[in-house]
Amino acid sequence: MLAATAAVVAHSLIVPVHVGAQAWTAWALIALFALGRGVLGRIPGRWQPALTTLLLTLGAFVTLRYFTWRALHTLSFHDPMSFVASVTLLAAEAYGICMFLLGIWLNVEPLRRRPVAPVGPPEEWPTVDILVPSYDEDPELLEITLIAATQIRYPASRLRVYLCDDGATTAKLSDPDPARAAQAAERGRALRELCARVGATYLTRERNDRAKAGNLNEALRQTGGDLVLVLDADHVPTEDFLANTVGHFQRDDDLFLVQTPHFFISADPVEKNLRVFGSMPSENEMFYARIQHGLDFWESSFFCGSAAVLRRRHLEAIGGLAGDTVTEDAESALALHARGLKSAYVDRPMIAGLQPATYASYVVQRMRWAQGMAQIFMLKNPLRTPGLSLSQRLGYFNSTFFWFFAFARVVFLLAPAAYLVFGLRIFEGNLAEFLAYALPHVVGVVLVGDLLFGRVRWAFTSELYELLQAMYNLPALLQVIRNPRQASFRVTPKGETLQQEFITRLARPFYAIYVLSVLAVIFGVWRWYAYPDSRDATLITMCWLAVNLVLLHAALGALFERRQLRRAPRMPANRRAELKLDDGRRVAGRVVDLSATGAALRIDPGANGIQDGVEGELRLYRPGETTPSRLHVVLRRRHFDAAGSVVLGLAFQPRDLAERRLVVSHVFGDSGRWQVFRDNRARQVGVLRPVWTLFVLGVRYAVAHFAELMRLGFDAMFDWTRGALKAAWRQLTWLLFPRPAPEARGRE
Amino acid sequence: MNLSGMTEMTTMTLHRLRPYAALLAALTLTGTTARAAESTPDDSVPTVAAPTSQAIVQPLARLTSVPGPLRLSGVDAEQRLTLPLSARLDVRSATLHLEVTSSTAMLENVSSLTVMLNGRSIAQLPYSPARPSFSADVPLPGELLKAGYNDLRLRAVQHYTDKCERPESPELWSEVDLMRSHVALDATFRPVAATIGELDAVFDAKLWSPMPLTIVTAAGPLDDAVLQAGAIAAQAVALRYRFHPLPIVQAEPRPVTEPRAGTFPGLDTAALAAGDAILIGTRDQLAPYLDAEFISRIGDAHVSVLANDADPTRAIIVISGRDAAGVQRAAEAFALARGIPYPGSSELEPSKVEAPALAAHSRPNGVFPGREFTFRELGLGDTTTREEPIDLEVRLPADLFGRDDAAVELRLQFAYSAGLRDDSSVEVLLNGLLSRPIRLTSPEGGSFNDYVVSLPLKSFRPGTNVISFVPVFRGLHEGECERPVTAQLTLHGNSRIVMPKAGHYTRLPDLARFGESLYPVAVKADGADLAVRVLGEGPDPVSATWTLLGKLAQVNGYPLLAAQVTRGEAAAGRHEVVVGPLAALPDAMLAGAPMQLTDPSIARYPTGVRPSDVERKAAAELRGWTTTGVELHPIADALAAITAPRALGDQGLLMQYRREGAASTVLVTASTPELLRARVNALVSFDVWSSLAGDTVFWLESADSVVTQQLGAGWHVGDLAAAKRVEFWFSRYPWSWLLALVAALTLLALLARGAIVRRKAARHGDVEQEREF
Repeated sequence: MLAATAAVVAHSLIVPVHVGAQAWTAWALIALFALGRGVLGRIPGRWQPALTTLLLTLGAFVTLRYFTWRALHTLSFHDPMSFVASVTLLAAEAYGICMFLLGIWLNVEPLRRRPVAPVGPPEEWPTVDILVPSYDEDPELLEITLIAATQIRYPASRLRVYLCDDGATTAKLSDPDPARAAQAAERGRALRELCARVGATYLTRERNDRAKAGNLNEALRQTGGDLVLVLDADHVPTEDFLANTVGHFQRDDDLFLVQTPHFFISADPVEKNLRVFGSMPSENEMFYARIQHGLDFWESSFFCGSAAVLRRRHLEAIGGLAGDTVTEDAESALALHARGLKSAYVDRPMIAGLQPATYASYVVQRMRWAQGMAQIFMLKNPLRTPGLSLSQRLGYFNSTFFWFFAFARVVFLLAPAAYLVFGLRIFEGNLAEFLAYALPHVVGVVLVGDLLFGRVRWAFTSELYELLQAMYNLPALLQVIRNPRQASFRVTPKGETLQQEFITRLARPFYAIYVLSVLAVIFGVWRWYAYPDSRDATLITMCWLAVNLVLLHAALGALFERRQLRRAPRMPANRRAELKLDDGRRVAGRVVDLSATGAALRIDPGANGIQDGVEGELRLYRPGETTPSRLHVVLRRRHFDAAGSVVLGLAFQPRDLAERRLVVSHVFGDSGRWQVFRDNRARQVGVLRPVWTLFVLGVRYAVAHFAELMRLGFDAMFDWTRGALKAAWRQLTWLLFPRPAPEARGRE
Repeated sequence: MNLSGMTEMTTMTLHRLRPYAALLAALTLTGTTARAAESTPDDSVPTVAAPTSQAIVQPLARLTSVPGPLRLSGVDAEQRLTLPLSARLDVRSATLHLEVTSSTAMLENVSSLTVMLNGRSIAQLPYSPARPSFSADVPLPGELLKAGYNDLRLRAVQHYTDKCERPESPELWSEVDLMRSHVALDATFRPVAATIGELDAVFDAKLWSPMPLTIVTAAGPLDDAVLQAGAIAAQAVALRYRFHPLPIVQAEPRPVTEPRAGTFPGLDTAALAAGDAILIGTRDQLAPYLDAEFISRIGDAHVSVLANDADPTRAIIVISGRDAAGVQRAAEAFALARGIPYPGSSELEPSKVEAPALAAHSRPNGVFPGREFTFRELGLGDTTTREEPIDLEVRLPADLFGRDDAAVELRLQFAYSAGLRDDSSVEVLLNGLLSRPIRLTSPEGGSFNDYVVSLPLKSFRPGTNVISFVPVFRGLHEGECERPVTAQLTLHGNSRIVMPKAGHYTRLPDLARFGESLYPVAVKADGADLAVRVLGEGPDPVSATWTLLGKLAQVNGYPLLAAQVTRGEAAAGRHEVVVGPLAALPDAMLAGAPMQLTDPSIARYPTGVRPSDVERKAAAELRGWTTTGVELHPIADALAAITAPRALGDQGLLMQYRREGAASTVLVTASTPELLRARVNALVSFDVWSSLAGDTVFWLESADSVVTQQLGAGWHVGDLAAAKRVEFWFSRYPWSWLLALVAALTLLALLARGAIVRRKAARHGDVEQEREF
């Protein structure tokens, strides 16, 4: 019956009613959607899933109706170039609509698993190996991760922490370059010492084969725990990590993976450069707070490389982590799912990681992801992988095919100019049809996006991030398409600092697109007057171009790198504390943020008068505890917050490892703190506000970008002028006051 | 016919026709020649009035489809009129009388109106500001007039200055009053000397009014075979007269008291000399009236063309044979032997007649869904024009049903001259309505291959449509002057029209569609689905039936050879056209009719009268000072019923409905047989016929008297699959689509939800879940 009804609905896509009726129908469906969206939160909870399904069905229909019209009625052959352009655009739209429909299917019923604690006598709990692969990360960063790993609450006899160092392998130590060899040896020595100090085991290997996958596989050979917790070097775990995950493995022997979200305490380049970190959901939030739940329902949530527990037995059954691609995590999960094994996703932020700090680092990371997922798509096409269920095939298809967005995004950027500047007929249609088909589709897509992801992804944010990645992902993808096996693993730089503001050198392709878009605006105005009979097409394309320009402005803003001096990001906290100064004074207050290196203590205004540089002891209380932790601190600075309270900037001064452990425990140990932060950030703000915000930020930071460009231009012009004047002066003086040549003097 | 009638006719129908066809139709209706008089029941041969052969005067308004005065605007303007002239006429003299009004801004000596006949200038009439109105009589030289269609042009050269001027200046105008201007002919008829191959010249469409036609049946009581043969003969003549309405009189032969020499020794041919005649009967039946030697020449089937010995300018066609089948075959041969001058003799003895096998919906200029046709195939070859529209006539199946968004594509091959301003264009009009402009943007001129123009299929109407290509040329500026336009547009005959795929499905009743295309009675072009029933005694119902069949054949464009013509019952499953006086109609015939004409009768009245376009416009203008401003429109399906004694009066009544035993029924009736014949004669006139609409039509003599209403129940016909019928329904009622769609989507969502819940229970039943943050 479901199939029959779907067939009837599919047939209604091509019911021949006139464009006016199409418009009424489309907007009536959109109005129904909006009405349903309005009442969704007010009806009893048991009806909400059914209404949500109905709304998603309406949204899918409006989009399918649009695409049916696009495919059947808007293509025509005028000239070869136009035809190629129009088919390319249609293909890009087909990609987008395919992903949209897959997104609806995927997220129609997110599965939200509760954390499950291990049960039974602790001595019978599975043994766990924590593997921290490392390549070139700073030992300071590794120290925090390792300390936190050793502080995870789990029976000590059943827990081992390993640092899997690929930076001091035998091959690295034998590097023909003596400096590099020495550097590797020094790194190995330092990390061995660190491991010994914090209670971890240092592992390394002969060669650096197969990058991270090879590193972990070597570690798997050298270890023997039942379960393996994989943590990236910068992923600092909370103390309850295993308490929230190991229980799942006890319940189901076929479970090979419990994945948890990647939670970041630093801003990505967009958040940093547009200064929106904390005020809107992070880019990865949509994936970890929504899509993974959907994937979990369809039994295809996959390993994301870190913050996940895997069962060794199943990993070994496939020969360890797969390494045919540069995204070994998803590749391995695909292989294990294909064996009929299961995965689970627990949405509790239990690691704190660092985002790439610069656009360049970000691009390195995203190019690797795009290449890796494209490799999986091409080498291990999920649609044809035996052993997978249909839903798993579609789930993996969605996860891998998504990364081809760069093609569509570039097409969407260039298409308006193709028509406005070059006069290519990219579609056939008039304003009435645009209002009847295209606009309802756009509105529908935005509304569906808001319904599914409104709390975790603001409208048009995806487009911005995709735009920023597309320029560099596209050649990377082309490289994979040319040779799917040639992609190489590049480690994402983490923990970088930026001492000054600058425009990233990677901005150049965006300038080209921007200039082309501005040209398209000029041509659009000209075309409006020169071709009055095609004003419909001009108007539609100009509207499209306006959206592109808003996104481009925001992108240009994001490409202007802001300073990043802080290595240890601060995250909000709300803990009772007392500062005991060495002179005996005591100041009570609340710690409002914490970082690996310090804390901000808010005290009453009356308690002012403390001098910078004063040392003391911060007595910090955990929630619900009466005994404080005593941490040595030094006062670095003071300021007033918005409420007029004094906020003291304190730097931790741990005297020993135990105190260092305390600091790590306080700063990184509590997953509840991360959860609260994430919840506060995940607000439903509707559609208009994000659009306005994007527009304002775009204008503001694009202006800053252009101002910087002008400054650079003036500097260059000044330098050139000065150089030219100097040269001219030299010429002039040579003419006016000629000096005899040295040879002549010699001869004299 | 008054001017408004002419205007209405022009706007409603004439523009569908080729110019000369429109002209002929107009002439038919409005000529000053006499009409056939009505016969009296006592006359075995009715008395008919011969067309006068003396001064025939035609207002110019009858020679053009241009409504109102003929306006000549701009520096160089030209209007073309077509003057048809039959070879049967011997023209002694012809004069063109013009009534002209011109702008007072016109510059004397350099402004004039030139009259051209068949390419030769025959008069120049100077414009003068001192004489803004003038009349002129221009003799039309006999040596330039030819039998056929004569090209009469009025070319105005108009200037307001001898220096720089704007060619389109509003001061440059003159008007020819088409009602007061006329062509006067002094002509006589030539003796008939035609052969079978030249029958088209006897029943000549270029006659300004057709010769009255009497069909004389020698069989005594009319049986179905004679009715059939007479019907075919009537159609044969009507088709030759193309668009002229042709009142036909059925008569029995009047014997002479004293036999005389000649081909018709026993027939009173003088009684037939008022017009042309057809003599129908078997050899034995005709023997008393014809020469024995002639009778001996009649074989199995026989057709001959003879001059009336009482008046050699009149023709008598003899259709005969050994038996009824031979007569039928002879009639068919008479109907089909057209177009080429063969045989060159006056007699034809057809031993076998094979009509072509025509597909359903076959029509002249017919286009079919899912196929493409070149303009040349549709009768439009390479055509060059300066300012006149180029018309392409296409005929769509009357029941064509396409997707609502289906489009007819024109793939045009055309070229235009250089020297045009970039706001010049070619306007593509569909049935007189602007559908798509094509801008001609290059001052260097240009040519296009496969320039695509899409016209929505729904903009086409069932049956005949005219696609016009109207050049709108603008001259380049030269300083302050505008260069006169001398550009041309050539539309090539290899341009194509691409029809979308479509089915056949429509809603009936619809007398407008019946009038336009005979739908549904003649879907098969030979009338194989049609039965024509003649009810009532005497010659008048038969005359009315044959007159009507002549009209049906003209609309059909092909003789309805396979139509059953009977006094009895129609063959099962056929559509029937019933002609009979009121008293002859059995009650069963009226079952299901929109008007129940039993006595007492039940008349249905709508809640209001649908206003005409003129009334609607007037009402809109008067709304400002009327109190309510509400127009009286009928409320759909709300009908009052009044039972009263039957009283049709002098009106004719035409109804279309569905009754048991027939696929559909078209009933033509009037109170008496005489009135029936008179009303059918009026019905086939151009203006009344083109006014048909709804399912019930009342009329008297002219279009002004026509009242149409939709009173009965509707039904659908066609061969669409069930799914397509649903599409048809949704297409007509989009709200139902929306409601059905919402219902289907809701059902789909609920079913999907159910499937999800079942999957969740099966796969994740033991998973503890938390609510969304």
